[in-house]
Amino acid sequence: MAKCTARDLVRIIRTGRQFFLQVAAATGCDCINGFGITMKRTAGKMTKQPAIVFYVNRKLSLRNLPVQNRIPQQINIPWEYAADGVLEVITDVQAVRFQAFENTSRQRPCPGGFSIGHIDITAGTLGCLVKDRSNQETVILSNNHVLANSNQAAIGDAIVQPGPADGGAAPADTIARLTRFHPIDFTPGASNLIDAAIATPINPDDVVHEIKDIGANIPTETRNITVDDLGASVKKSGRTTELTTGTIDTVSATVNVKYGMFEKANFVDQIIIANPDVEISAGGDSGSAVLDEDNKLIGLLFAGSEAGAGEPATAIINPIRHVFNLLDLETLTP
Amino acid sequence: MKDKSIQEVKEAWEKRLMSIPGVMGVGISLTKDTRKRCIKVYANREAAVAKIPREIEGYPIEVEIRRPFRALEKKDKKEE
Repeated sequence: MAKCTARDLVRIIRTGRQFFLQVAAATGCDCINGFGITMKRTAGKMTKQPAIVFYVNRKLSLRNLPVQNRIPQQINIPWEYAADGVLEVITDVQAVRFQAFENTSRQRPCPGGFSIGHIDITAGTLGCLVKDRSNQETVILSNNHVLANSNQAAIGDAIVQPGPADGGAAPADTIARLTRFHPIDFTPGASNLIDAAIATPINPDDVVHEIKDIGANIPTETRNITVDDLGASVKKSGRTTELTTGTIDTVSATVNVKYGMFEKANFVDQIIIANPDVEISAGGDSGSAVLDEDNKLIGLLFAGSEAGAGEPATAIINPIRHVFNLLDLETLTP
Repeated sequence: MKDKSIQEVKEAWEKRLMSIPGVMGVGISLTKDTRKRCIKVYANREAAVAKIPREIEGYPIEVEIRRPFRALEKKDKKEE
């Protein structure tokens, strides 16, 4: 049998994908996360022996692993390029878990934290699932400018997941239809409380009451933020900056916010969250649900300033009581 | 002794503070050093910071320079 070289391995991986999937399947575990080419490691040290590496969730000692679930230490592969038609391939096993899904990816069912958007926008974030009090239906909560294209959309318009900038297109990726939005008043001198909208999933099984990297059955409660909460810790899971944490920096904030290149709207009674050390939010995080330490929903992220030289990012949030009052919503029960 | 609550003072002065060029936001926060309640003014790099008072009606004002506040949808290619 021919010993294999790294070059053989590259060829094998290219043409023999199916073969390794079969090896993975034969172990009877769904814990194999992938495979690739490496130099075999023995006792943590890299040797000079090329090997196929299987990435698994957790390495178990052979003693604790039933024979049929073991990844063979050597696999003999029928190989036309080898002198005797068979190639000896050494295997290696490493515990590596990949970040399973980028927040810009397509998800079914889709939890909060992932990319979503009206067909005519770029992309924002699916905040979380809430209950429409008018008919007790489960709906998706995000911003007006994410689900309703800043007042430009018509009720019933397609909402795609992921958002159009992340490759989402109708009808293949249509996850919901626009149900209701609170208009943003762009008139100079007018003030707003929320930038929020809801959309009803076409198939209830396409969404899940969960927020990525935060947990399942979240949120089931809300909390109203007052001046006594300045400094409290909060978190959000969003399309672009994913899971980030910060503190409540400012309450009762009046802010002027730019929409696109030309429009501007004034908002009052807003909450500003900040973290001097990380980029708490960025373009694409609009619509993220913001939660306190007990996973109570405190608000809906809709705007902010991006980080610059010496200028940390800030995130601006609609207090949840205004969102729930003006759109007639409540939390889902666990 | 301050005569008015910080909320009342913020509301009374908000319009004037927001009309200073470059000011994007006004709210209630805590001072960086002593964590006392203060009025916070968010302004951009071009703001006329010199025109922002240090204190009003007994409450300190802190200024934070930030990039412009904008709705946080993903930017269009042409905006990047």
